[in-house]
Amino acid sequence: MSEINPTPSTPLLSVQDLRVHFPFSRGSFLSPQRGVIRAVDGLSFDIAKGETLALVGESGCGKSTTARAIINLVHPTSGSVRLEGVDITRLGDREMMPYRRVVQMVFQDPFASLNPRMTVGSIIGEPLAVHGLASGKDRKLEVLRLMDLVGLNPRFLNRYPHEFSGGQRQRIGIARALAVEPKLILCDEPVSALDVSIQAQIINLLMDLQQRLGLSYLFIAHDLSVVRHIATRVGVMYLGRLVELGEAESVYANPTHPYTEALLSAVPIPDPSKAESRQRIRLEGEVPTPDREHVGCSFADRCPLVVDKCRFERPPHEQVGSATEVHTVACWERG
Amino acid sequence: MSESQPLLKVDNLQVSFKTDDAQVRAVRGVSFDVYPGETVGLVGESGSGKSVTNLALMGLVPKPPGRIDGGTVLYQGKDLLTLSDQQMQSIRGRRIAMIFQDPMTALNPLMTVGQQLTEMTRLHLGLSRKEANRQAAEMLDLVGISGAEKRLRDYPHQFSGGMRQRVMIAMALSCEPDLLIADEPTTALDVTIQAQILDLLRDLQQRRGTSIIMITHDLGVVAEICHRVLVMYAGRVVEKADADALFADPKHPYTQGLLRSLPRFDQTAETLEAIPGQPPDLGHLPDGCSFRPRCPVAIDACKTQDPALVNLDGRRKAACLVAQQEAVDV
Repeated sequence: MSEINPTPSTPLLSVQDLRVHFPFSRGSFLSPQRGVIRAVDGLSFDIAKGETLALVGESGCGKSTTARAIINLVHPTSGSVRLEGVDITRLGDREMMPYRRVVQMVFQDPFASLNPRMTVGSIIGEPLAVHGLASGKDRKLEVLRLMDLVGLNPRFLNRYPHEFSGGQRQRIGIARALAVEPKLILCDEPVSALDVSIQAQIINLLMDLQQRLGLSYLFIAHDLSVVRHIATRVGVMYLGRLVELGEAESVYANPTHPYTEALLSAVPIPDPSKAESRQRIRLEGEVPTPDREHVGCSFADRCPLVVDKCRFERPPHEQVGSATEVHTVACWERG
Repeated sequence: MSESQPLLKVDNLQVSFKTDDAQVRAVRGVSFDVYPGETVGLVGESGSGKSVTNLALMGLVPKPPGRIDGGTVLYQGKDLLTLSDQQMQSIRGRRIAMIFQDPMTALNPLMTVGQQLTEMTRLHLGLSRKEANRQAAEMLDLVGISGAEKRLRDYPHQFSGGMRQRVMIAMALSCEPDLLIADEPTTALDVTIQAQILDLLRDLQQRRGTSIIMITHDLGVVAEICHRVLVMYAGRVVEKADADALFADPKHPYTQGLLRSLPRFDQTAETLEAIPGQPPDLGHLPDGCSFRPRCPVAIDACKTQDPALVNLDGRRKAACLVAQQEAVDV
């Protein structure tokens, strides 16, 4: 890809003030109410080479929509998504092609994301054909190499997805994503459909591949224990916005936003001796539908620390702890 | 707790399903007791037989293809497995109630929540419409749904996921059952909502003394809420222990592997120790111990002997030849 010449300081991915709004209408045919779902509402972050940024948050916080916007599967309402310095949000399908080699995706459900009528060999080989990277015997050799890379027995080349277990199917999905030698892989809940004993195998595989190939991951998950294990940095999302962003160690040791605190204190720990002594912060109610504009902080309605200012002015991200720490929080009371 | 009589006594339960190429033995001799007021956790991965065990208790195994091959389920001196459908109906919902993983598919989308809540109390307790409505409103209030009387007229789609699960719990508890079977009740929910629902179950149990069987794959949930735990693998109970003992010092290599493979929220590790291989195909189980192909400590005898669940130290039982050997040596 000679047309992309990033300077060394350009992050691999840079998302600036991303907004994805979906218009909707509800109510009766005669008196419809129209509105906008603000799935992503002003999101900014970077991903550097070789790092894993995890986005965490509850259903409806916009983490999956963010991933879809990054590969141009949904079109952002405003803001930019720069891959190696180039804004891809305005690119057409054809212009987008070279960038699809840079970013690939691994999906949550390994049962729904593989074509049941294609053999494993043709599933993994398809991206090679689409991008014109290898054909004939070369393609087959490359597919065999990829299968070996993700721990699939090359004997399974001509089998169909239904002959595999969930964990093996996820390996097929990962091999397919790796086929075009991407730099960034978006993993949308890649292990949440798997059994516990298999989860660990896939997490280890992802981390091993990252080391060997220098990959970056955007890792989307609701399981905060998995995230702690795999992430370099963590972003906590609430109603389409990042409320806290920082190095995983720092965020887990020192959660600063009231929502992050509540979220982390709700995670069950598999150790009864610790479970009893933990302090819990229980939130009332549930995450509301993001169908209205928040002038101030989106968490204000449920926040135990709320003050007047929170409702009228949006809190900026401010440094947490010493200046050397990579950790910011958007909260008037804690910033 | 051990001095009182068990509420439910499951002995050597066996269930199988007929498939095209084999008779799949989903539950292979499961035994356990549930005492009044306690929470028993049933942990295992997909295909371990935990859900089928509970469907059998409720008389809900589809037959065919399912078949109860043996065992007894004693409840108040009666074997539930021998009751007729009609007799079972007077127990199911009234004495033993169930909540399911997915509250959206378990609720009828065409009936209001009030209709669904009162259906059971009118049938089982013979309440009048008015009494049933009042009681339904009380139940919604109990599970923390505000504006209960108004919300009785709402349909399930007008509730969020967490609220629907509260409705399910209200419905399950409305006839004051002795036993509540909760099949992955929080798996479909977000963590903060999960915490709310677990608090609610714990609170209701304390107030009413209901026994709970908690089916889950999440060891964190088990640690939060269960008193005793059964670990299932390939249709068998492989370890049975008090929750504290199980987490502090697991004895079966499968339990040990599960706990080691878990990414921990409260500690960091370089790599996770995954359990190698795949869960077994129930239609074609290996000879001997079914965990042997994945077991790091297997010995020759494991190839031929399928170990029974044996008492190790009074507080727990494990079905593992190696663990049993060690217990004798100590």
